Amino acid sequence: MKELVSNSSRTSKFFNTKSGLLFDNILDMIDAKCIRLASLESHIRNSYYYVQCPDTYTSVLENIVPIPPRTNWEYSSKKFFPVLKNFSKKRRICGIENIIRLVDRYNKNFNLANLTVELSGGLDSSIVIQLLRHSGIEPNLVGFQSKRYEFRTESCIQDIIKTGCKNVILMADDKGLPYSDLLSVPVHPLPNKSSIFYGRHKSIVEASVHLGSSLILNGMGGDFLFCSAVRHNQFPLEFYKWQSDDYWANEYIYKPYGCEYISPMALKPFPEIIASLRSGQDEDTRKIWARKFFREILPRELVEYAYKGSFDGVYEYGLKLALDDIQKIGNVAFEVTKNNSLNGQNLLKLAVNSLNHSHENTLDFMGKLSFGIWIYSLVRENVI
Amino acid sequence: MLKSFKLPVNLFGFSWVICPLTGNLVKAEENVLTRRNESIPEKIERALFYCNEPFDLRSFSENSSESLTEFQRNSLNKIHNRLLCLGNSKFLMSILYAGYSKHIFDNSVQAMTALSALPEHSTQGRCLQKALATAKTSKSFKNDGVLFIGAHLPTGIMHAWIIENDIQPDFLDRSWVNYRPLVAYISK
Repeated sequence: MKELVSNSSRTSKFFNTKSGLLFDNILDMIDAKCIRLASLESHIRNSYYYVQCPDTYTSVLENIVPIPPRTNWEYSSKKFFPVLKNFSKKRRICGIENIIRLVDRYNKNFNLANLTVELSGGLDSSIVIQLLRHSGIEPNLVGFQSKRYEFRTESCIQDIIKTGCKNVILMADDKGLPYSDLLSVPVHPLPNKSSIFYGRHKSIVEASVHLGSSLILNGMGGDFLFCSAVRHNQFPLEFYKWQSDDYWANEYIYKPYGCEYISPMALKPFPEIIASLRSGQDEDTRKIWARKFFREILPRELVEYAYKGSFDGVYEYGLKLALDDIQKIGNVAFEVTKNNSLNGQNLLKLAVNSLNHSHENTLDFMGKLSFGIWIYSLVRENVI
Repeated sequence: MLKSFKLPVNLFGFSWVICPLTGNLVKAEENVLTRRNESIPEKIERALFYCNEPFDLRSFSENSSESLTEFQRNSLNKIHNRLLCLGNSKFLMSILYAGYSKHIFDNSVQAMTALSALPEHSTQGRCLQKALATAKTSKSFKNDGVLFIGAHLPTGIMHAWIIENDIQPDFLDRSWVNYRPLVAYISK
């Protein structure tokens, strides 16, 4: 029997697959017993995916599945299938000026004055910034600027892009390290790997609020739009908004500050336009097509070069600084669950093992840590 | 022959260098590992400048692979297979082998393009063998090329790449910028 599960709101909801009910919040249903029964293995499996979506999600709390904002799903035979909106197969003839007009239309409808864009020094956020500028909108710019050797190219791009911008806050990268401020992660109903980056997001939202912005744009989604292979007349699944949108950060970090954290590249009709323009193209990991298409508005350094900074060194540095916090989190998580793999010492060992930069070790550690962070936040706020 | 020049750095409270004989990353107390008084050749200084200023390198787009002659294909396969057999563990032998030139290509861009087409280089894991094969087979490397081996400090992850005049000849390699050069090799 098929059941339609629809979330038309701007925040995530929670579907109980047994009762068929959809909840706005499940925090008041959580107690120590259900934490003890919560599945760490399921969460680790979920952590292998970029975002939590029902079709790939394995329940951590029995029968509970998170439903991303503004998405519809068919639930049948214990599986979820996305209800995909039809997209126009009409081949769009579109140049950069059409996209700039689109931004202009957004501005008229939504008043994009006083918005902030994250300036990472990468291609995707630079495209967002330059499109806004070419539509006559001068955004505030917020980000982290690193003196690390591996980020000298990003730092150079940041210096170029920020030129002429009146309101720029570029913080030292130790204000936004992964694994920072873990003990302050806001309470949340289900564990999520995104919680590991809480410190970074907190710095971004505070800087944006300082500049008077309540709308913060990022460059997320660009990796899918510009790198994925696009078969003829197909709309790749990864182009759908819910595949690339970090709604967890928006709901638990930005909204409490009265802000919205938005991926403009995931908003209609941008993905449709890109799918049409890139129809029939193979995988393009260096984003060569995007560099050429947007060349009129991008600096030479982004058009002619495809350098990519590695975060391995930053991860290692952030992790080493957070070892005490990780141990605290582990100790609390063990007290609640009695699961040895979560105790402080074992979590520390996993942290050190993950420094060998094996992808599998890192994901396993991040899964266990974010599970521990979830429990810690629930205990801290006296939910359990 | 390939001649080596150590390029020690002080970073994160330690000094770092790559041993030119073993290829191992060496970490010691700060200021312990220092360059000997021997001066660095201008070719290496220039290449180091480009390592620090990657946007000053000449950009070039992917060349469509020119067809290799049978001689080029057979010679390249032989050399490449020998380097793969030696692997990273027989580092010194690899360096010695690469030091005896066998020119198949006019320049390092051609060499890298041909090597990139081989299945072993669909990922970045064999960077040392790719760089050494280029050094051995490229005519222009003899005069103008510098082979670097570096590390993404402090992680210890290593990589090998070439700078030749104002070009980094492997257009598929976009991650070389993450690695700080710690030893350089040039043709004697």
